[in-house]
Amino acid sequence: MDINNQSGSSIVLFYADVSSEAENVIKQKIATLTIPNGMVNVPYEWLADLTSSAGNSDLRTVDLVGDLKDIGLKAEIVAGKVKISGTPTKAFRGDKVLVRPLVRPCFDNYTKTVRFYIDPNPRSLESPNLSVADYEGYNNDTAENGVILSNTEKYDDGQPKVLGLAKGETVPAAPIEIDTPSAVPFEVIAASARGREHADKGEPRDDAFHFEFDKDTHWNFVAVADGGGSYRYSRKGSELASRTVIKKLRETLTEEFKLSGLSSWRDEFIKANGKLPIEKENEYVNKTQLGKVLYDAVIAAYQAIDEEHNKREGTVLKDYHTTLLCAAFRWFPELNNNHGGWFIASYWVGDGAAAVLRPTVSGGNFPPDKVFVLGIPDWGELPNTTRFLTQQGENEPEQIRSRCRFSFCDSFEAMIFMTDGVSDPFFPSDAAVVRDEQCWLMFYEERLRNGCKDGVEAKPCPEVFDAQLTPQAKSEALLKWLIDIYARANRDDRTILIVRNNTAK
Amino acid sequence: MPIAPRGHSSRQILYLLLDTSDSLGKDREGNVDLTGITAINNGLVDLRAALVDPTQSFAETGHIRVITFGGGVKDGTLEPIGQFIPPDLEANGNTPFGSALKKLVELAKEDYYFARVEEGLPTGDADYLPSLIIMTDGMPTDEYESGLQEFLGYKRLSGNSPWSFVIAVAAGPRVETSILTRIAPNSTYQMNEMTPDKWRACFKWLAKSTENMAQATITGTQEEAVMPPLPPGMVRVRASVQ
Repeated sequence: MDINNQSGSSIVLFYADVSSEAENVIKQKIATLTIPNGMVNVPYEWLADLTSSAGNSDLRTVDLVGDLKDIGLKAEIVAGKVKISGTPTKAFRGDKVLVRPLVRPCFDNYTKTVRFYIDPNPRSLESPNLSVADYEGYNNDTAENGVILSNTEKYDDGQPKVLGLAKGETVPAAPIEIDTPSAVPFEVIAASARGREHADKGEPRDDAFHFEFDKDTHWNFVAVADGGGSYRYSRKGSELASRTVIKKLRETLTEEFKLSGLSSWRDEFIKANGKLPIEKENEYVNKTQLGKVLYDAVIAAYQAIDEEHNKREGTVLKDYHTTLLCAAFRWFPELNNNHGGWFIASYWVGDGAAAVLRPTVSGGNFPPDKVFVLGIPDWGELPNTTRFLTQQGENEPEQIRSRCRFSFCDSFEAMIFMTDGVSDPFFPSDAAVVRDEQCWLMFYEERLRNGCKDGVEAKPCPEVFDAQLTPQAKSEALLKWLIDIYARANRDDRTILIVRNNTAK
Repeated sequence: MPIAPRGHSSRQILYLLLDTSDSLGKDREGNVDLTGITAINNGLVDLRAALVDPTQSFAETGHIRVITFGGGVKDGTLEPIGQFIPPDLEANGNTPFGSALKKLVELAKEDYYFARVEEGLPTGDADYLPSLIIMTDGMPTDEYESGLQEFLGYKRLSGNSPWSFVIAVAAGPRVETSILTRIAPNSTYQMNEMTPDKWRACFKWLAKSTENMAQATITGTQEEAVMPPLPPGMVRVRASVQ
């Protein structure tokens, strides 16, 4: 940053003939003068009455002299007042700006020194945009990907095939009491962008996402991970975590896997209206086969990172610190009294946000909630603290199980996973991520669709809701949306992954 | 279980608790061209310039409040760093350090409320991140123990210290540092000479330290924060074992 202390700048005020009394008033006003600071590229306007008495027109001209005149501001007299305005084009450091009133007839050499600053604008900072290919797992600055999860083919009767149904099975008949999910394909769209913090320093993106869909077992797997900003190889950690957890889940969740082992969980889940106490949930994770599968997958991710660090000399595990939010989900026809339902097994360590959104559910749906979250974000006492998969204690069975959730629902419109680079600007607190249904709906239906300009600036991204577009086109639009978000001091990498009913309007 | 840091920024407030007692207006070391108060005034403009560096998050979310003690306690307004206009401080009066500490705690509590309620920050205190630089050239002239106790008693909801960092600077070899080390046990420093060069170097070092500490807080690596090397003429003061 090249801003030198610019001396020799002054504001010269030229007055008409005034009495010595009036001159004293002028000097008094100038003696107590302060000029507010500005910022490059932000419109500036300052108005001050520096006449001997309000409404008097004894002030004739005002000039900016020295370096002050080349920063995009102009000075003029408007209705007797001094007006300095314009949009500053460069930074200015005025530790000693002289204000010099030249008052006729004496032209007394009175001066007042003020401090005046035009600060550089963090928003218009030009990022060096360097790439740092110092690791085999180097992430590109951005990534985006989108696929249609389910088979979009239609059955002979014109009904689209439903994700998760085995070949030959039919779409579940419309239930009598409750609505089933729309018999439509789902899509996954995801995007990830490097934050300003990394861009400014020419560092790579530390976030990662990954998803897979298994056509044979009909299980779907999604994950997002946020490598800790201050850890050397966290980008490798996030990549390994998201890929390994899915690889392991996919290996173990075979076609033979049945929900039958979860029948008593399901009964209790229904009884509790989708809100099982945490202890109960832990109990089921602990004693069911699926709980074991999820546990093994998380351990596999932890071990993959551990092995990576062992292979690489001079590193410690925490160099790879990463959060992880992941889920395995599929449609089970036998759920929900055989009306079918989505079953979701999730694991979440660290910050960020993950939830299932169902803006149109009615009382007849199960569960009745418009939003349910897939875990609890970790946040610490001090700002910017969270927990990582790779942290001591996170590979303990109890700890992993306490982070796992099983959920099911008869339908959903979107399931969203995001790293804190997205959740921080849009959610006022981590508590809101957990409890504020309105905040989630607002995020999805308003801020993403229509954009916003209320403390956080985001452009509209209607493409996500456009049934005509391919998932790839949507994810490209989503990436652009991510990059364009502006929130004060939000400089983190941003990643969002949306599983979406692609006919929802 | 320890909580590890994540990588982004939050709301920061830097408090400057500055001695402006009359001794700072005098020239103790035979330097006619620079009194302590002039050095502090010059230092503040350099500090401001360092903190508006747009590559630092402090430029966007940082706030500053200057509290001075000299003859009485004066408090500046809480301002975003961009709006901050370094004051021209004048030296006079005695050294009411205890009252200044009380004022600091009172204002810090007010600002905490402001940060949470007025600016719509979350109700927990996780986004509240105050830091403190104290500079004095003499002994308190008031009863300071109660102020010190108020300072030490100011805690987060959890009972931990609210300060992300505290740096205390004793300006001059004769300053009694045992009070400062009670406030900043691991980060009290002493200027042994007060020549113009040494003053400039001290503020440069403070600006760099603030930057490093603020950055470390943002990236969550306080425990690994790299303090810049101390300039010649400054030494770290260890707390004496009681």
